[in-house]
Amino acid sequence: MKSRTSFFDKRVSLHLLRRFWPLFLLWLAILLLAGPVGLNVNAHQEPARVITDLRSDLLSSGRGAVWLSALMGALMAMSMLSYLYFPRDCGLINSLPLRRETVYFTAVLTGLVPMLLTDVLVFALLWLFYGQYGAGARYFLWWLEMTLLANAGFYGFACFCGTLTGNVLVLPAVYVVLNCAVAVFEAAVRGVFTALLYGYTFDSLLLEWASPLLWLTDHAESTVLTHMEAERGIAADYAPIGLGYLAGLCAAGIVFALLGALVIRRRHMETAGEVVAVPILRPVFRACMALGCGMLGSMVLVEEFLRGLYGTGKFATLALSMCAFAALGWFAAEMLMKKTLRVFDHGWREIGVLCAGLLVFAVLTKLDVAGYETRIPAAEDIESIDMTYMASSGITERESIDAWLDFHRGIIAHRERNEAAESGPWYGVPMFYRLRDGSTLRRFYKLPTDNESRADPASDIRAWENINNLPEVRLKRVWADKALTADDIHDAWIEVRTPLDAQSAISNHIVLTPAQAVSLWREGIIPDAEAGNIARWRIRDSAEDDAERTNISVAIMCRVRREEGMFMDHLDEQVLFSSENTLRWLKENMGLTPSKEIHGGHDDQQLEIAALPIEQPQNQQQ
Amino acid sequence: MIEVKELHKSFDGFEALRGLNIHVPRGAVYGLVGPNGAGKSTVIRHLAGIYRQDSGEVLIGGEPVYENPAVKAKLAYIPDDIFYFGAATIRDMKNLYRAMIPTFSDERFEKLREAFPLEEKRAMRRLSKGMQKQAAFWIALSCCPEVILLDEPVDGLDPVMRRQVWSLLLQDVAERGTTVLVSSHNLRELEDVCDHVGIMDKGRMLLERPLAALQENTVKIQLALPDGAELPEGLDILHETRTGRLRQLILRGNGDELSAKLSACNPFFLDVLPLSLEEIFIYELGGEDHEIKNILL
Repeated sequence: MKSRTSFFDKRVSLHLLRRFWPLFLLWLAILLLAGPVGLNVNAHQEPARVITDLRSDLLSSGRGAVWLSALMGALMAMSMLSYLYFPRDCGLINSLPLRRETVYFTAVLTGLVPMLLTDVLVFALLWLFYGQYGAGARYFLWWLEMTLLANAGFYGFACFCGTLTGNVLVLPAVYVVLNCAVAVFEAAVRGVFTALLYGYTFDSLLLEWASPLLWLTDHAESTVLTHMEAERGIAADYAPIGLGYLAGLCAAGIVFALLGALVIRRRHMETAGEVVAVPILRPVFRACMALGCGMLGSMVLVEEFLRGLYGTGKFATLALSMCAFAALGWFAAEMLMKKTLRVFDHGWREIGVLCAGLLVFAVLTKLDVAGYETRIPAAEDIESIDMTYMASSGITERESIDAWLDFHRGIIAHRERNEAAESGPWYGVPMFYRLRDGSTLRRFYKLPTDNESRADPASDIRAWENINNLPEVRLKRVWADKALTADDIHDAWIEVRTPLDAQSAISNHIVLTPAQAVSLWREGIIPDAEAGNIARWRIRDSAEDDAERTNISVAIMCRVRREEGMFMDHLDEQVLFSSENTLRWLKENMGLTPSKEIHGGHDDQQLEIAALPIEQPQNQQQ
Repeated sequence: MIEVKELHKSFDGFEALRGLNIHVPRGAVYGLVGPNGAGKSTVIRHLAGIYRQDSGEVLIGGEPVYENPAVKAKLAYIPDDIFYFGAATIRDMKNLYRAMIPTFSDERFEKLREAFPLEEKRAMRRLSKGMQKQAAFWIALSCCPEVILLDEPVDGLDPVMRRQVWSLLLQDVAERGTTVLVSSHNLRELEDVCDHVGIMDKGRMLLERPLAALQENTVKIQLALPDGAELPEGLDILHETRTGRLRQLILRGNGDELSAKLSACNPFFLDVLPLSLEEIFIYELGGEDHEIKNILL
């Protein structure tokens, strides 16, 4: 009569705890260093500073604990599931009166529960030692939340990875690869698109969320809700990004751990020691290695080592190298699984099928069956166009949009010339269309900036220059659409270059108050920009342009509040001799008069200048 | 007690077991013999519940073994390469089995200490192969199992310890009706302890019989016939050698009947000799490409 099913065996658990207790101590030590021991509170500072630093450190520590959980998850899985990897251990466990799922779940839980208890213990110590400083309970709870969720998520996934292989050294490799596989694969596909489709670009990977290690690299940070103002006793407030993601990761980890039990059922114990323990996954492993190596290898070869290629030559090289790398990947997988170098006598049909698939993919991409390269939206469908490298919002005026569309058509028409010149100097032009139906269209082109292109008024780079000097673009560049106030100003200064000697010059910084910055901006920069006498954009230097420039430039940094949090925007413009309003303000308020632009020089110097008082409107007085 | 029915098992396309059938009655000492690569260890691992068969049945006490803790609790398995965890000592292994096996007897463990003079605190990996085997027997016998599976059990043991081990096993068989299945190449030793024999080759059972019946049904006859006399028809000759007039025949059949049949040819000389298990093994497999070739040096 069969015994009843049980998913936990105390005897196995105790055995594992006795064998691997140093690992739990290690986790405790690591968390203590990342947590209570690693935090450094200087109680002699002003309270707002103490709280700000502690809050920031707690969130940093939590993020650190997330990364450490990723590492610890793999180590713990390697230990708890070690009975799967050594024939002797495997034979022993499987000869005992235990069900396989019982052993598996017992191992998983024996690894997880002590880790989670360690997290709670360290959280309690953090609260005990640092709760008194008034940082707020939620920061400590966030720390705990991040650690617990990351532990469960990464460990559960590592256990699943552990069931796929019979080799303990392969487990961490499988774990890292599968943690990054989806995003890397998407990046490889997009890389092929980038190589073969003219103008192709993308903002972020759509499937990055499916690769936790990569997602956390890009997104694990905190948004600033309020900045610290120590003199007013206000501590900075933060919010961690990614708690929802970690919750999803935890849930996924649990699901994967459960899936591991299904794999264990299918797994034969005689596969201890083999790279891929589940027979049905072996062709999958080979195919993934082949496809991955094919796309990544060819992309790296073409984009990094053969940059001078374009057109048909680039396509042919990419396609052939895809097949070559795919074959290499297939054989590498077979070598790993068979543990021998003698694998070249079979598998050619499978390789042929995979290469055919890659070639079809490459050809379809090259032929642009989706019409990507030539798609330009109609003017009436466009809501705005972002020149995303700029710190300003999109252009919306019809005149500007029409000019832009002409510019875009010109780039497409000059494709061959632009592609041929990619190995030389080039300027990257991003395009981001927001359409009225809510969709977006994104492109990126490399425009040659060699001397010939710069000198040719009909070249794309000169057209780009003209776009940047459109009235709407120029005004947006100087924040004409913003209602700037002194509270928005983070930093502002005037830089004056004065000659030191015949060959060198010195840059003098004159710091402006927020009120002065706003006044200069409103009374000088904006009217000059409207007249086209400042914020000009030039792709080329000319004697004529040089003669127009003064030795004075203005820089303003302001805070911008967006949905995602607080950011900094900056304005940095050189004052021209025709910038009458700006020059008038500088003369009246700072006693500055311009001279010609001076090139060369080295030292920066804070220059003390007694600024003349300015008359401020009532509503701007600090 | 132990039944294997139409067992098939492949490893990476290689068919290790091809419809194997085994029947071991309760209380028997069953010797499983076969050439290298016959599949003996493979079938024993199925019986221990380590391997899952591709098809067929593996039953102990009428119950399937695989994933059946209740059945596995009644088994003791001693492999050729002893199982133990990493840095485990004999005591650690004993504690593990004591926790896992309901019938484990501390009293028996203490009694057997005299028979197996080993230090409990020594790490298994630091013991010699023979000492590891001793430790494995010590623990296995302390489990008081109903079925013992042994794969090359006495390999590495000195002659005194071998005798000791067999004595303890047979004592268990006699007193508690323990069923023993043992695979070994040492046929001389098996002959002394087994009462059932199964000869397998290339994943199949060639011959399975009580040892007495096997020995009764295969005989060695030496005879010398007069000139011109031929052997009678209908003899199942497994092997024949000639030295001058003297013939040595290995025949399948009853010794008395064959003797009577051959006497009809008026031989000068006729003698019926007993066959050892080793000789039965060699000659039964003779038709399966394992003929002993005479090598003239």
